[in-house]
Amino acid sequence: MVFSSFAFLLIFFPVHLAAYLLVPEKFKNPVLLASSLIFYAWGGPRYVLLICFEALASWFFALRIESSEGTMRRVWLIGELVCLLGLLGYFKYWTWILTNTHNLFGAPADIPQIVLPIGISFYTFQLISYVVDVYRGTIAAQRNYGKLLLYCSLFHQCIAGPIVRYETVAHEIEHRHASERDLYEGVRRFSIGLAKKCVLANACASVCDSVLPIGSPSLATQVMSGYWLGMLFYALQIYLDFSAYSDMAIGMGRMIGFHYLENFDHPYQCSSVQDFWRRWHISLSSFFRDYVYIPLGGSRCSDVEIIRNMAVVWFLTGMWHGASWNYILWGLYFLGFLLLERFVIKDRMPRLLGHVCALLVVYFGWVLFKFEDFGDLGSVLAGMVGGNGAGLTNLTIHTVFLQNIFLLAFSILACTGFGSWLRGRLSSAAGSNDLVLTIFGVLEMIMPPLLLLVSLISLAGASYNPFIYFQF
Amino acid sequence: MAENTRTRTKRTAPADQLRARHRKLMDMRLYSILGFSGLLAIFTVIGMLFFFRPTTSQVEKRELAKFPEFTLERFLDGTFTSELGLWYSDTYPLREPLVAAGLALNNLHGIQPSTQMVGGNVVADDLPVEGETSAEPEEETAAQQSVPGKDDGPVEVPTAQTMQEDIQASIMSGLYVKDGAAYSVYYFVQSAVETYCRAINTCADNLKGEATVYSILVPNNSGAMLSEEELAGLGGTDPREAIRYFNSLFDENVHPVFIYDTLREHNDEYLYFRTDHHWTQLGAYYAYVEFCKVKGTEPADVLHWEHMRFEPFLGSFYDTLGLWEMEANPDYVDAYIPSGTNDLEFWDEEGNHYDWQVITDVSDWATSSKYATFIAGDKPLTIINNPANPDGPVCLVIKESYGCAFVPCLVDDYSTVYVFDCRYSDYNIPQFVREHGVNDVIFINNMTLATTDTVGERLLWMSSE
Repeated sequence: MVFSSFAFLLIFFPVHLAAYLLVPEKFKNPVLLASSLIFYAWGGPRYVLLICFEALASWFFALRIESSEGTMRRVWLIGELVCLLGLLGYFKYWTWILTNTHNLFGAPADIPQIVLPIGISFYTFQLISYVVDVYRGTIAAQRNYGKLLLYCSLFHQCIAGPIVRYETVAHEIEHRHASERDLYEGVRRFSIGLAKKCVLANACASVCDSVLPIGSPSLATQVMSGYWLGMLFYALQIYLDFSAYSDMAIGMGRMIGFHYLENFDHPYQCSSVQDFWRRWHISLSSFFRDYVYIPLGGSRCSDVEIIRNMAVVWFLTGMWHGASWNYILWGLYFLGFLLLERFVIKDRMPRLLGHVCALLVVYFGWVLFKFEDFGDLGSVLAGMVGGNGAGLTNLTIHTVFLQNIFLLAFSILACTGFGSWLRGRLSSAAGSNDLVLTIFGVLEMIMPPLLLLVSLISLAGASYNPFIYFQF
Repeated sequence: MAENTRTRTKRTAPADQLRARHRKLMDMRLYSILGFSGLLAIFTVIGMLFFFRPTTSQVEKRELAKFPEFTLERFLDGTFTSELGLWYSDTYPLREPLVAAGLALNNLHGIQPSTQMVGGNVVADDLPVEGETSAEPEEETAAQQSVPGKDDGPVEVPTAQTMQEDIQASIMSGLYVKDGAAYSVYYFVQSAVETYCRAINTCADNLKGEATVYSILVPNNSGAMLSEEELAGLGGTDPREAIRYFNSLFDENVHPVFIYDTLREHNDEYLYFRTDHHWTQLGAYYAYVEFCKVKGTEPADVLHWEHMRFEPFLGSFYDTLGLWEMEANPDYVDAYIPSGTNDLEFWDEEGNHYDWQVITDVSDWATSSKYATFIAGDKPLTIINNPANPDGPVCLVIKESYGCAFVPCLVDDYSTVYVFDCRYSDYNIPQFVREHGVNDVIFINNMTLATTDTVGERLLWMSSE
């Protein structure tokens, strides 16, 4: 089930919320857990067993770590990592590994097609972070298995992030309170995310797919401006889509008293490639920083070791995004630019130029990210520099551009911090000016229901609706 | 004391005001939560009105998702719940107005230029030399002998649904829009054209000496109506050459009727709709005149028959594009009532029988449905018995929706006209021809539809013994 579906919005969510609000305090966690498991089971009940097992293993290993001393603590930690990473490796990478060995050596003859359980990359990382934090002594192990299962299966973030650390929600799992303000901010954030997904991201996806149809012979015959325009819409789609999901997750959490950390900070306003990664999918970047990069030695070592540490992180970052070589290439592509910034450019680039260069790097990165097939990837890269001889532009692309010019402008605006800035200014001015207070109040009042209505209208006839990050 | 009081008042007043302002703002935010929850509740309750769930969509002209079948296996692998979600949203009671509102919302995405191209990045196959096919002669012979349902064992015959999707995708794959009229571009596909021609040849072979087989390929409106320069600039395949190529693949016992040049000679007349992918009955009439020339008969005086006009008509192009220019200048449908009879009977896909009219008064029908005035639309089997010509010959027309406007022109010339819509009909053509004493078998199809694999495969299956 995706948040942007009628089944979620008009059945699951209202029923869950009504049940949650009506039951006494002591039943709120059980209601939340039951809702989360039903939500997860919607995509295939058999995988509920997997998430329950991973939570059980992590619950067990964390308790053993806490009660052990010396090398045994490390043994239990390794047990946790082997167990969870083994399952992740099997479900996510085994088919891909066998496909590669088959292509190289002809063996095995038959490659099993393993279905990827929804959200496995997210909840596996959440549970690993929990057990490692217990190992480090930064948090206490959760003795109640149900509460640990609730942490990793919370439907707000279980299947598409953000990767919530246990320490962020540990207290709120036990005791939480949602104020009037929390409720409003949650509803508002959820409706913004919903509209971002249903109105903007889906429309951008539709334009991109019509211009750059993956697997179609016409992908190789597009005109040059078509490739650039299509990839521009893809860059907008992937941010709006993914950040929309985080907005909805954060919003739903806030409605009931959870305060998840931000996952995006207007990444397309970055001043460098490194800055982009401080703003993009923050929960994943910080996971790799805290659980891979720093344990390897971080930046406090020799240049060679720094390069090794960064290479490991970016190889893993690429691989986390999918079992395909293009994702690994994408990770290593960023490694190259990050090394360039760290060892060659070294903050010497003017901010504006740095911003433009970083956007170009990210833009071409999305080309690597989008096309898993290297034939398609080659066609698009060649076409972007006019290598296919199809010409600069044509009537079709001219039409697509004009027909979506307001969508493009609005989507670009939605990627910036303009909305937050405007709200902040209005909020400040409303403190001393009655007219501004009225305008601000009316805007605050109408926005969530209006965005919900527009989203439902957009969803009704939308055939294109999957979240991109479901594949991870 | 008074000074102290004044000072205290000065200090507390802004705090009170701030609290009041904050309360006012929070009240409005609470109204917002109520509005949000109320809207969600209203839509949820509407979603529970199971008896008001639609089964077809008028806006999208398709059948909506059916309630999924429950099995334990389908439940465990998530198929059931996935299809349940699809069914719920697809048949939501307010879906039609929501979809219409969604289309209006989409129009706000940008500017609609008066000249535009929608789709159009389609890779067409190169048109070969006339008579040349992709297969080697030996392979071709073997392929021609391989007939679905005869030599291959069980084969997958395209269903009406897959053909509809195929046809829809083909027609809408490249639309040139100019001054409120849309023109579909033709793209040649070698394999599909060969399959189609093989189907007609198979039918003619099987009926050699028993019935005469005619083939009429109707060009797209771009081929018939646009100037040579505009047509060449659209990037599709030359439709004239493509039809000539089709005809070159037919065996000698297939009689092609080449209508392309005739339509172009009359392209200052109202031969095709601007907002729909079909032709008008005037266009169909010119095709009928050409057919009579090939058959060697005198055409009926169709244009002097009693006629009806239905307006406004906004067809499939309008549904897809939603252009206000089309809405401001809609089409009309002129329909000519045969002098012999206006009665017909048809059977639907469930086998139900209906008595109907060749030309139906559709004045009160939806603006998108006016083309359905002709022979009750697309049916598996339609029969028109003409009491004014009881001793006349008998014909069978195998068509898709383009044939609907053409069939009424034939009524006076035959004692009985049988009509199959190839997408819905399961009849075996040679067998039907023998059983019903059919003299002429007329295949009439739009050239884009004849270039979809599914149509050719279906016709091959229907033509094989």
